Amino acid sequence: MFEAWVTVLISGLAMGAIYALVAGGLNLTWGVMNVVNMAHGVFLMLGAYITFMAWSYWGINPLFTIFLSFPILFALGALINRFLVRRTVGLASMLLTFGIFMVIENLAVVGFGGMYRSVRFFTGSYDIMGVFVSKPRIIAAGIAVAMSLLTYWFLKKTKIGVAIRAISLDRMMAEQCGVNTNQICTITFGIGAAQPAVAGSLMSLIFAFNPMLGRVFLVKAFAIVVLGGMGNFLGALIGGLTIGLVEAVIAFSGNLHLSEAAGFIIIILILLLRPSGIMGRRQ
Amino acid sequence: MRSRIIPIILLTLFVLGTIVFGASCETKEPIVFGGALPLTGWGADGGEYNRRGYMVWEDMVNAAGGILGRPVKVIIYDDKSDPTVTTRLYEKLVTQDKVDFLLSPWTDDMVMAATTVGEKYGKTIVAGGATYPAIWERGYKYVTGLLPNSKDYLGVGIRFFSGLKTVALLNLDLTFTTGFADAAEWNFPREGMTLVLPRQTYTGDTTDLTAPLMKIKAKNPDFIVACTGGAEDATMILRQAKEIGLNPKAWWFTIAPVIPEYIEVLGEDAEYTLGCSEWEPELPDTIEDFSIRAAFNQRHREMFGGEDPVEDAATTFGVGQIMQLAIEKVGELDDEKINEALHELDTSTVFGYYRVDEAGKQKGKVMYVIQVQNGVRETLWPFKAATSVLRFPTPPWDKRD
Amino acid sequence: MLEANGLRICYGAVPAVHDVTFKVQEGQIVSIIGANGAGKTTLLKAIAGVQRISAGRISFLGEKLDGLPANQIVTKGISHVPEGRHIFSELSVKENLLIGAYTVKDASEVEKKLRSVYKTFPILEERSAQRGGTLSGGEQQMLAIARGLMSGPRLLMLDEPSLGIMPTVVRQIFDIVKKLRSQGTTVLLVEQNVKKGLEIADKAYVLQTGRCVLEGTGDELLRSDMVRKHYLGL
Repeated sequence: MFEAWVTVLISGLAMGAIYALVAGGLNLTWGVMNVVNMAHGVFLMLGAYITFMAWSYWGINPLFTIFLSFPILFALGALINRFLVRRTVGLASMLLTFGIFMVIENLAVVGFGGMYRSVRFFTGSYDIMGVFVSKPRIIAAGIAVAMSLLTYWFLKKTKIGVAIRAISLDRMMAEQCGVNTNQICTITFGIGAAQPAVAGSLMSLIFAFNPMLGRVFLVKAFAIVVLGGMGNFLGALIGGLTIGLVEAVIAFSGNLHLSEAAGFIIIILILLLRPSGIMGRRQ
Repeated sequence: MRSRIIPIILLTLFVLGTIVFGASCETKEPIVFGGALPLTGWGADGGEYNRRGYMVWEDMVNAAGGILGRPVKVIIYDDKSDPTVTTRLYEKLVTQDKVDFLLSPWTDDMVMAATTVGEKYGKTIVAGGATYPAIWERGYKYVTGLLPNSKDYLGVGIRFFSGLKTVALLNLDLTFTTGFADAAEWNFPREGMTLVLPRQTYTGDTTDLTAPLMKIKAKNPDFIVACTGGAEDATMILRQAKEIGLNPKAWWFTIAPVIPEYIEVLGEDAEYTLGCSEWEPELPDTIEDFSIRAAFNQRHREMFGGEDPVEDAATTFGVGQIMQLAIEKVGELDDEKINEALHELDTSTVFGYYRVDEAGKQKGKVMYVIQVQNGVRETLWPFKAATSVLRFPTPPWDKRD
Repeated sequence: MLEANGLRICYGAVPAVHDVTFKVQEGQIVSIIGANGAGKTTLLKAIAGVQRISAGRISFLGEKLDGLPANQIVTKGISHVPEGRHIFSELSVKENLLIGAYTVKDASEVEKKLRSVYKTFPILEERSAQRGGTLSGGEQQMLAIARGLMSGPRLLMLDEPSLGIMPTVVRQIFDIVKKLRSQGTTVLLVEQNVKKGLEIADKAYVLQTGRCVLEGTGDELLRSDMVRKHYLGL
C-alpha cells in the first residue's frame, strides 16, 4: 500500500511539474501584459507537433527537439504580439487571441489531420523498490522543472528579466526608466509562447495527441496562475505541483471526477481566502 | 481607425476558422440529402471519416446515374461536436433548406438530438455511428439504425471470454462510452463475471490514470474491459498499465482498436489487445454480402489520397445505400412509405447485413472479434471469417520481448 | 537648457495647460508652483513623453523633444521622478535602482552610479535587498529620486517630493536637491509646498489653471504680493 501511495504521488507531482510549465507561460502574458491569452493552448499543441515531426521525419532525439520548439514558438509568439495582440487591449485582446486559437487549431486540423499522434521513445517505468516511476513522465517533469527554474532565474537575474517584472508592476514607470516596453512585451509574449511549446514537446512523449491537445491544459493553467498568484513566477511552479499532488491524492483515495473538481475547489477557496494566491504578497 | 480594424480582423479570423464544406451541383434537379457532422471539436476525426463515406456515396451514386434518374446532392454542416448545434442544424435542414432526406450525424448525443427533430417533422433517419440503446427505446417511429446497439456490441466480447471470472471496468465519461460501460455491466453477470471494484470513470480532461489503475492492480482481475472513446485514452491506459505492471489475462477496448492510428501510436504496446470490429475492409464475403465493397474501397482511395476506408466511412456509405434502396423500392419521394420500407428491408450494404426490429434496432449485423497480433488486426471470430487464433493469456509486460 | 514654448496640453477635449512658456537654465533649480489642478504635473508628464502635447514645442539642449517615446527621453538626459513615487513594489530596492540605470550600457558605469547613490542615500544601501513596497514613505521618495539619478541625468524632474512625508525627511530631501545642484545636476521641481519650493529655487514659475501667471527668481516671488496672498496666506 505504501509503495502504491508513493507511486501515485510521484506521478501526480510529475504531472504537476508539466502543468506548471504551461502555467508559467500564461503567467507571463497574463501577469505582465494583462492579456488573457486564449491562444495559449495552441502553442503547446504546436510544440508537440514540432517534436513529433522532427522525431518521425528526421529521427531527432525528442529531448533535443525542445531546442527547436522553443525558438520556433518564441518567434511565432513575438510575431503574434508585434502584429496583432499589441494593437488591442482588454476584452478585445481576449477575443483576438480566441480568434487566433480558432485559426491555428483549424489550420492544424487541415495540415496535420485530426488523427492521434505520439512519440514512442520512452515507455515503461523504473521500478524502485516497488515504486513505479514512469520513464516518460519523470523525464518530462525533470525538464519541465529545469525550464521553470531557468525562466525564474532569467526573470530574477537578467536585465531583461528585471525589466519584464518592472513592466508587470508599473508599465508606464518602466517606460520612463528607459525600458522600451513594446519591445520587452514582444519578448515576453515570445517566452510566453515558447514555454508551453516546450511543455507540448514533452507531452508528445506522454500522450497520444491531436490538434485539440491544448484545450485540456488551458483551463488548468488558468487555475494554476490564480492559485500561484498572478505575476508570481515561482508561484506558478508551486501552484502546478500542488494541483498535481492534490489531484493524485484525491484520485487515489476518492475518484477521478472528484479529483478534477478538487483543483477548482482549491481555486475557489484561494480566491475567497487569499485572492493574491498562495505565494502572492500584493494587496 | 484602430477600433475599426479590430472587428474586421476578428471577423476574418472567425470566417477562416469555420470550414464549411459544400457539394458539387448537377444540372438536373437533384434529390437533396442533408446532415451535420462534428467536423471540428472533440469528434472531428470521427466526423471526417463519416463525411468521407457520404462523399464517396454521393460520387458513386451520381456516376451510376443517380436515384430514380435524378442526381444526388449531399449537404453536410459542422455541428462542432455539440448536440445543441445539431438540433439547430437539423431544424434548419428541414425548415429552411427543405432537404428531401436527412442523413445521420455522429455519434450518440448528436443522433439523439437529430432524431428528435426528425420525429417532429416525420423525416426518417437511419442512424449511422450510434449504439446507445435509448435511441430506439423512446417509441420513435422515424428512426432505424445500421449499428448493433451497445448491449450487443459489448456482449460479443464478454461472451467470447465467458470462462473468465473477475473483471474490472474503465469508462470514459462521454455519453456513448458510458452507454458501453452500462452495457458491459448488464452483460457481466449473464456470463458469470464479477466486477472486482466499481467501474473507474475518467474524463476527457484526465491526464493521469495511475490512481485508478493502481486500484485495479490491487484487485488483480482476469479481464479488463475499457470503454474507451478512441486512441487517446486507450494509449494512456495501456502506457500507464505498462508502467505500473498491471497484467490481466485479457484487455478489451471499445472503439480504439478499429481506429487506424491506435496501432501506430502504441506500437508493440498494442499487442494482444482485443476489441470488436463491425467492419473490416478485407473480410471474406462468406460472412456478409459485401457486393460493392471493392468498388467503394477503390473510390475512397482515389478520393482521399490513397487511404483505405475505415469503419466510420463504411457506416455512412451504408446509410446512403440503405436510403437509396428504400427510395428505389418505393419509387417516389414519400417520407411515410420510405420509412416503412426502411423498417422492412432485409439486405446488405458495404457495411454488412441490415435488418431491424419494429423499434428500428439493428438485428442483422454480424460483429467481429479482433486482436492486435504482430502489428495488425486479426479477426478471431466468427470462425468462418477468422484470420488467426486467439493469443491467450496476455503475457505480463515484463515478459514480452 | 530646456525650453518649452506655447505648450497646450489637452485631456480629451479639455485643455489642462494653455500656452505655457518657460525655460530651465543649466545648473539651476527651477520650481513650478501652483495649486492642485493647475497643470504642473501635466507639464512634467509632457516633458517626460508620457503625455502628448496639442500645440507648442519642447526642446532640450537645442533638440526637439516632443513626439519622442518616453523611453527615448531618458537617453537624452532627462529623468522624471513622478508624483506618487511609482516604486516597483515587488522589486528589491537594488532592482529598482538597476531599472533606473536601464539605459546605461556599461556595467562598471552602473556600479559607479550605484555606489554614488548609496553614498547620497545610505539608508537605501541598508535596505538594498528589501522589496520596494516595504519601505516607508520617505524612504520610497528617496528611492524614487535615487532611481531617477541612476541614468545620470543632466536634468532631474521632481514631482511633489514632499507629498505625504514627515517634515524631517522633507528637509533631508531638499538638502539633497541643493547638493545635486552643486554637483551640476539641473533640477525642475514641482511643489505644492510653495514656501519650500520657492526658497530653494533659482528661478520659479507660478501656474494657475493651466496658465503661467508669474515668473521670477525664488526670492522675488517669495516677496510678491500675489504669492504671499494666494499661496502663503500672509
